[in-house]
Amino acid sequence: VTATGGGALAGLQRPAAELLHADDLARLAEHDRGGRAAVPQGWRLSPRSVVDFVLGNARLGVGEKFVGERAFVERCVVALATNRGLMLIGEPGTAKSYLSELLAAAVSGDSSLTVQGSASTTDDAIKYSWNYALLLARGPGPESLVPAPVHRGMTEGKVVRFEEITRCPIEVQDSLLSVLSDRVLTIPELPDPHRTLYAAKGFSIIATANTRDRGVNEMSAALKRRFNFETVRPITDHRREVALVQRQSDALLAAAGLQTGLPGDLTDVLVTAFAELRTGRLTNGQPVDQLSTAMSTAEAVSVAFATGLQAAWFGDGRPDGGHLVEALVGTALKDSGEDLSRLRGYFARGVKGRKGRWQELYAARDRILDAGS
Amino acid sequence: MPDPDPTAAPDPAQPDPAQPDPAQPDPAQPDPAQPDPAQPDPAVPDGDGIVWVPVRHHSPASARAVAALIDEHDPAAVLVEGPAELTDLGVLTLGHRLPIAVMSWTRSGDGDGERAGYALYPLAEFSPEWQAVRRGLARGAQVEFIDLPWRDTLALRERTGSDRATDAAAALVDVEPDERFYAALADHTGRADLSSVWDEFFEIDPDLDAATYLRRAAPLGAGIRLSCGVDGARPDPENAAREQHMARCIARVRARTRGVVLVVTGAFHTAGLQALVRGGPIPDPLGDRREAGDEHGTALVPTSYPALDADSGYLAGQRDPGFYDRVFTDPSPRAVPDLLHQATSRLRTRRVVVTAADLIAVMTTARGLQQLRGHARMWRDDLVDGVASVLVKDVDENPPLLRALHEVLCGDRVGRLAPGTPVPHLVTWVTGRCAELGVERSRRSQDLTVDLGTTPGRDLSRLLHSLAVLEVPGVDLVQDVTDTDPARLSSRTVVRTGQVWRVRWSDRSEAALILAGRWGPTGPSAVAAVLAARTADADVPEVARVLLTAARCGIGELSARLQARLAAALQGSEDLVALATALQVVVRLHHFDHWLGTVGRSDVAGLVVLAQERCVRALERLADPGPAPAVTATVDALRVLVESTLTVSGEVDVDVEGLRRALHEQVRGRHGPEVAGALVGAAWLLTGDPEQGLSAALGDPAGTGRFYAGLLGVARHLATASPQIFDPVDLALRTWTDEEYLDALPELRRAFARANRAEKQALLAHLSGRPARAATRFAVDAPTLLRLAAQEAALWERATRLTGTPAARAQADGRR
Repeated sequence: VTATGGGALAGLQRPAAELLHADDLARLAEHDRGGRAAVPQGWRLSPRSVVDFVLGNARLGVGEKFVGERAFVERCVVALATNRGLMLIGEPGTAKSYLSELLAAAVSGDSSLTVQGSASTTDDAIKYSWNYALLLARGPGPESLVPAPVHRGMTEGKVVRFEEITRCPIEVQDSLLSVLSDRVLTIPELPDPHRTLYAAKGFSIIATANTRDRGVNEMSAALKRRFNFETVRPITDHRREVALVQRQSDALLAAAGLQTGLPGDLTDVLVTAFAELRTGRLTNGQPVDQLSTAMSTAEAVSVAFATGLQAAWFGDGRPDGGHLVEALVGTALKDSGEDLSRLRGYFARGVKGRKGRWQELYAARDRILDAGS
Repeated sequence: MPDPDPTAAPDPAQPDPAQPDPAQPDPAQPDPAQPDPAQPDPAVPDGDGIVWVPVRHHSPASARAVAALIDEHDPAAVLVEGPAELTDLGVLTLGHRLPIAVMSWTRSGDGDGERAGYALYPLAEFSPEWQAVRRGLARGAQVEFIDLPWRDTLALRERTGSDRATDAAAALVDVEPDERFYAALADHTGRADLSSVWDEFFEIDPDLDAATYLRRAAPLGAGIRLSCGVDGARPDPENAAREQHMARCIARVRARTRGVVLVVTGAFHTAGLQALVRGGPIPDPLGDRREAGDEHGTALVPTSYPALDADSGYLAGQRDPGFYDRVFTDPSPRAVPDLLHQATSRLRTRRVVVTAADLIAVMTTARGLQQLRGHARMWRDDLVDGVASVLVKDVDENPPLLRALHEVLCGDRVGRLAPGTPVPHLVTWVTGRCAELGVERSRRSQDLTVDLGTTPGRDLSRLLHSLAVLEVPGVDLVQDVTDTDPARLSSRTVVRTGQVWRVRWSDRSEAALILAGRWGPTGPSAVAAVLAARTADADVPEVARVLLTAARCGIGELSARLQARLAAALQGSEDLVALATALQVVVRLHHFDHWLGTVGRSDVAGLVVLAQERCVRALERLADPGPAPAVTATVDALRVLVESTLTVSGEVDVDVEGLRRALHEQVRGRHGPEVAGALVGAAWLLTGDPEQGLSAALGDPAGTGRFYAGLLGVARHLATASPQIFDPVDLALRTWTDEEYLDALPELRRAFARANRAEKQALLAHLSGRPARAATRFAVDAPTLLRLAAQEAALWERATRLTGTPAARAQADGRR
């Protein structure tokens, strides 16, 4: 699949960032050439253009893709440009993986070199494995080697993404040590000159880790030292969070063939409620209980999407507070009985008495608050 | 990598602070970086020969621009936004070590503390105001501070009911732009707070010339003004009054002076001042509203970089003064990287290891950020981000290097006034008293043992207490005459004659003393004013504390205002317990406290009479006190009331008859058994006659114990001297069933818990009919008795230390 036609993209469930935003990438590359901006070797764009790709640049017609502080994104880009690994940590749903995808797409034009970390991830999935038929037939040689993302990233000089790295056993994580510090991968099975693979310029690693999963596997101090850690924080700017949720849920609903998105005031209520439950503080400063789920912006988007579907498929097509409450059941209430009680408290103290769409929520409270019984 | 110099190779598409952003959403908001051809060039004197220099307070770039403009234009007059009441600016040039602050204070003439406030105008080497004054005076210009005097600002705030702090170090506050304009600025520069936005426009490039500075600062100030909805000369009342005052000063000086006039004010005000000065007659903001009779003044106060750093934000301070000092004095590219080396050296002296690899990674990242952001030199944010990026490995972690770097950015410079600087009279007074009484004001910590039995000891104690009240740091009472809460002192409290004070004088003490100078010219007058302010809305216990503090500070005669406040607080209370506590304190002061010099004083006597009278009124309205602790407090209050009344009745005209009548009525009233017992005891104590109340409450076995607990709580010595009063309960005991006896037992135990051995023996002898064994009689003289009492107190103290207080023990028992 190429990015040349909207038709090709339309068939994909989720096109990669470099395909979806190919126009932006082309425009920024053109701009770099025009302004003779310094582009690091192995990079597709200049560091400034990478930042602009992620945060948007209205003057160049590049859309905002990620909501965050500029200084934060700059630090991420500099980590990659100065040959440090970049480790994105944060609560679930703060768009860590999405940011790493955007950065890889902007720096290397390819966000597909991805390792998914899990308890069963082995060296094979990270560095390389073998085509055993060829191995048996011809012995170890470059042609019988099956490169995994790190091998490919080093060969091609691209950014490799390592998702949820702390879910891997610590010894598997540590196999990255020499790759990160010496930028070298030794393949003892191969004869010289293939035994040592030196990373081409442009190679780097973006890892992500969930701060709630920290207990699964620690990271060795040696590996930590080789990464610059950056914390991805929930969006604090209400206006921009509302805009983001609206934009993304509208796109999802449109992709599902629905023309009506959520009304703006309903999105506002949804984002406000999520922020209040996330921070444990109402807009007026009164404390409420925090839910044990992360209540992230990503979840807000999926609730907004579900609200739209609920209204379209089981209602009159016009999303309202009642549909929103139905959609909340699955996200806000995972499996914790305590969360139900906390949510009851929120309805009693946070929702009751508010005007506008909040009244629809309050009227429909029984649908969610009886969920546990 | 992009060109690090934004001015050398302008990139039309990058957020270059030197270039306008065509995507600015609102055309009404002028772009701060772009000279508008329709407007006169701010870099040359205007038609009136005025050079307007909009500044941000504590901005090194502003300071540099001011200095350069003074050199360039050689102005005849330099007018600076600073407190106009400081008329002799020569005091600023005496050779002080900065940072210092100009304190402007005001207080109401009668020293009641009602209207007292001060403002601080801090000055550091990198403050534009400081450079304006120093350079202007050095070149022989007429230099004046032109801001509205602080006392007038304060009066204005009182009148408009403004909620801005009145007695805080608040001055030279930069007005912040509204959210939208701010968001546009933040988008334009990519920086998240106004201070960083300012840095991007003005501070980072060390070669920014004064003309470019003015061409950026003037529209930025005007933009902030517009964004706040300020239309021409119509800001909020306070800023309007300040601007009118400044504009009148400018117009006056302009009219009388030949040559260029240079005006240095906050960027927010510049456009407003220009409109006023050019617009003809300017109204007098004070008009007929000047406050008469208030005292006011100014003084220089030494301050420090940590203090400036702590006062950032709303208060007039500057975050990271050490950093701004460095970039002001050292424009070289080494300045900021050097700060990292300083931080590392600090850590080395603390034996914290920072590896070379980490430092290399930090510098690489910081340089990368500097280039990416197009900074002409490495800036604080690049370095801090570099350290955080490399060394912070967890959410909200604060590694040692980052902490050390923040210490270096803050700086530790401490200001000091030049010898011979005029100080408030209070400082002279305290210096004199310290010399007379032999208090050494040194940095060495010294413990002073003060004997209140001697006149010099009393004087010294009063001086030290006064300094403590005036919040001078480094003067601490480490051991008082008693371990009891001073507000609960009674005639029964055991006291020592000695106090121990720890005195460790520092620059902060000196600064605090100068600050305290606003309260009054001498120790007693300043303390009286502080205490009067403290009693503005005080409740009765606070009144008692203030009264005691006044006595401890040796305030000879309570000021009329203080007395009135105390009287009002007493008058406003109907709480018998609180009033009795206050009565106890005033009686102790009036009758027993030879050391404090309050015995027999008529002002205290007046308060005794009032407190006793209020207690009697509260007694007449005595209601059910509620749960047990409140009952015990009421019983104690009744004892205090009667004892105090008896103690002073010979000397002070307290209302004994009223108390008797009130008790008589209340004994017949319906009260719980314990309060009823206490009332009977109180009446008995007062009149010597137990009346007929004794037979009460025996119908209820559980109440019987409570009744006696109340009775004995007030009049134990009387009761044990007349053991026949226990005959009714003795009789009742014989008729109670086992169950009734068990009901009554806990309270009866409690009733007699406080009786001592001799009293218990007397009671036993009475009830059993057998004569008590003769108690051993001691014949001891008073000094021995005091020594024994002290020993016993020491034993108790040790027991408490080892086993906890009785309350804590009871709690622990309860848990078990």
